[in-house]
Amino acid sequence: MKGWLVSGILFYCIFFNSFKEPEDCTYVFDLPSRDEAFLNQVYFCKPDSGDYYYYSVITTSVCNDENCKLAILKVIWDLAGNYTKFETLPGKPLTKNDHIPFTITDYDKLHSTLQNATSILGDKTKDELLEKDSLKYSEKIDGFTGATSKEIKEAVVDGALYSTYTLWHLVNGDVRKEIRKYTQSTYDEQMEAQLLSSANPRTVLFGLKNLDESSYPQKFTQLVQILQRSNPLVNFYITKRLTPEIFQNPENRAAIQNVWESLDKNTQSILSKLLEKPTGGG
Amino acid sequence: MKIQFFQKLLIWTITSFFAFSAWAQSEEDISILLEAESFQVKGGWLVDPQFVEQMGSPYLIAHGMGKPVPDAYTSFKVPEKGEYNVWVRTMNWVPGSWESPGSFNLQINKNTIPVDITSTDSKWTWLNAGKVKLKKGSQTLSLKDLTGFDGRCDAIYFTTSAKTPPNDLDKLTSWRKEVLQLPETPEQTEEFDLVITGGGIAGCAAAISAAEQGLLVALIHDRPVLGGNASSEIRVHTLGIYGHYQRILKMIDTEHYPNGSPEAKKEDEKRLANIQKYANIKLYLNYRAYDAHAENGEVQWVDASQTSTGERMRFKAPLFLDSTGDGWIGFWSGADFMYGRESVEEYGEEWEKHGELWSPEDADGFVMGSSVLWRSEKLDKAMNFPKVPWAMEVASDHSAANGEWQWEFSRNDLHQVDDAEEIRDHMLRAIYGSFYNEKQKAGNDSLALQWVSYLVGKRESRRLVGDHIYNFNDVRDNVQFPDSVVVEEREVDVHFQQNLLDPSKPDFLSKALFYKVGRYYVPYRSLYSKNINNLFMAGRCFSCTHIGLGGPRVMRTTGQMGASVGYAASICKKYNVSPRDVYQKHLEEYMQLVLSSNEHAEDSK
Repeated sequence: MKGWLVSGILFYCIFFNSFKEPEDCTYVFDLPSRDEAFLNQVYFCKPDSGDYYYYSVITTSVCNDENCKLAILKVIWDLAGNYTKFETLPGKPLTKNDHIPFTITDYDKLHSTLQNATSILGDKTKDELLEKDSLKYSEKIDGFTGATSKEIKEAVVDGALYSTYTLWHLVNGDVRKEIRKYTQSTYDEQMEAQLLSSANPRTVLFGLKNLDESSYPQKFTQLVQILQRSNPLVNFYITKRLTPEIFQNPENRAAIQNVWESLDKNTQSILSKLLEKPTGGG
Repeated sequence: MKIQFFQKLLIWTITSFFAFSAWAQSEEDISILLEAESFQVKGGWLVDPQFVEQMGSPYLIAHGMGKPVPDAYTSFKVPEKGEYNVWVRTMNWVPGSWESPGSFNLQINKNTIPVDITSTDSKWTWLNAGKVKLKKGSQTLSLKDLTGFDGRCDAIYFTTSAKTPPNDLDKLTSWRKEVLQLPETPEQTEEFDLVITGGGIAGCAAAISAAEQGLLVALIHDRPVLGGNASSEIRVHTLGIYGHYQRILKMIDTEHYPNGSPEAKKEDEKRLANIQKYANIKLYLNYRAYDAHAENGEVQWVDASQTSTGERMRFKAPLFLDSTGDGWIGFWSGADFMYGRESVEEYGEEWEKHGELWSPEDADGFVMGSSVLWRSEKLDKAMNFPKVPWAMEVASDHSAANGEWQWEFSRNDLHQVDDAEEIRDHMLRAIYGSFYNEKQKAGNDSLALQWVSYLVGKRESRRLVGDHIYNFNDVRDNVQFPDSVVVEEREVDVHFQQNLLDPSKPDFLSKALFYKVGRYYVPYRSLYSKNINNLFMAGRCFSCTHIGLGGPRVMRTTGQMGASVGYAASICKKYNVSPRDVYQKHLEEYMQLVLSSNEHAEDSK
């Protein structure tokens, strides 16, 4: 009970109080709701302290077969267009199909679903959410396939199928490309540093893709820090671009050895081959 | 009963000349080379020819799943009594601080040579087992497995010479030829209309459709059973649709039992019986191709050797099909080929949702991996399973009682062809370690390994380049070609290693990315080589990108490829034209043959 109370207060602080109104924000583009009934303005913000971000106060209709309602939510994305968090507006809680306001658990669930950029919701049209054969268990054994209602149920807020679905597509849809385009058009060192130090691997990858391979030797310390955070897919992207020449520098070899234990196995196995390679007598 | 026996046992003498300054003298050495795979009695040891191209020879493996296997033995003749150095070509498949899991002994006339054959080297090398005194005349040599955990022996070499036999693969190959006195060309040559190398589902389907059209077909396969990944030796069930070839494919496909099921054995029998109905399919089981030769852009022959006896055959034909999976015939004959994941830009294969996981910014070698399937069962008594400390580095705390398709291994620095033995061995460590962990759980006293494959079931390797390179755009846009000979509906299904997204996952488990798209079609132009003018390909080595392979790689689909190639070969023969000419000059007739496949009379049986 006590734990619930503490997490409730924490949630309140995070979702209702912690986000300050933007001070130095620029309008960048419009994000239409999926039914195109609403045009939501997306802003790019460069606060004096703290990370750059994008935000929009989204208004969207959420419809099932019988009726529609409005959902209003403030959504924040990072520089790579990856969803970061949301806030409800005062007096505008999200509601379930039966008009009951979301609980704290529901908001948590929504947050984790929106964070999942590869959610199964992305593979489904609205009509497929309740497809008749969705309960069928896939018989394809070289990988399990096909959406089951169980999978969808696990991905959405209980009692808020269409709200979750609509918001996921809005937050994880074309907006990402638009944000990336804008970030790249105003790219600077601070952005690079922020992208590369992100906790979101997809954001780090976006940062790495904007980093010229020729700068790997100069940025090696920063790259090692990324490797150390151990997202194997990100690390794989980096290790593919590391050459034995980089390890001619004993400091670079030492830097890798120092973090060796914290590296994932895949990264270790690739690096160990690079480290073994002759370094030209250096 | 006629027993065919070819003893590849060689006794010969070498005259070595030592020319040390002025006192040069000659000395006659006696040497005897015994190929392990040619032993008269294999006991529980198995012939493993999977890695010949990397390590030089088929070998014997003691795949006892933890129980020492019965001895293999052979007789051999010693020409002169004397003291002989004993060399054993072996490798340590898990070197480390533990007792080697692959130790074995040699026995001569039941007397054990007091040296455990335990190499410290993870590479194939000659290990010196000391000296023995041999009497003149017939002797018996036995391999005595000590662990049941995949000890391996390529050959045993007795010599009075002090020289170490060569370890370098090229030198070893020349040395072997010299020692075995092998002539440059095989002893026998046979001629056919179509030579098919690889008796997986694609090769079998091609053999049938070509034979039904009256072609004399050689079907060369390096295993004792047909079916490749679908056989009872690997046990992947066949997926995909029949396309235009239901009648043919039903003769060779499988039911939809779980992967790894022993039901695969009855499908082997069905497949073999159906192939044997065709008098004009000449079947060469246990023959592994080791070379192909092209002149003026055309394959002239394929050479193959019997995996136990070493007997060699040359196969000649105007037309060849590479259904080896690894594209060996194309590789040897100089066909253009591709390997690895293409960059996302090369063919425009982006799927934004999965980004690098799907198609990388820069090309790499992180292809779909190979599987080793396995299963266990509960018996009616307690079953011991030994500690496997050498497996735990791979298995860690993962536990399992069986291994399905997800048991798959790939790594960017490992090549699915060149490093296949290391990949297989990594999977064996994963399996034995995970099973050991499972055994420690309460209630699992009677759990025992029922079957662990020792063959790598590959998904992806070399792909030969055709006139059309099948890629994601063909699938995504449901492109229909004038020469659409293969049709599929199954999702594009590309695998990646689970630990790429979650480092806490074992490195031997994979996940699938599915792209659902409806019907898609593979053109005939992806089924013959771009630069070798009489070479077809069918199976996973057809002309495609890494992503293009994701859909049609399953075995009913590869069977469709094979069936369509068999028909194309018949058109080639009828008009004495090349595979490309079939598309350019005889497409209408060819497509008519393809589309009416289910109605063809089976009058060639």
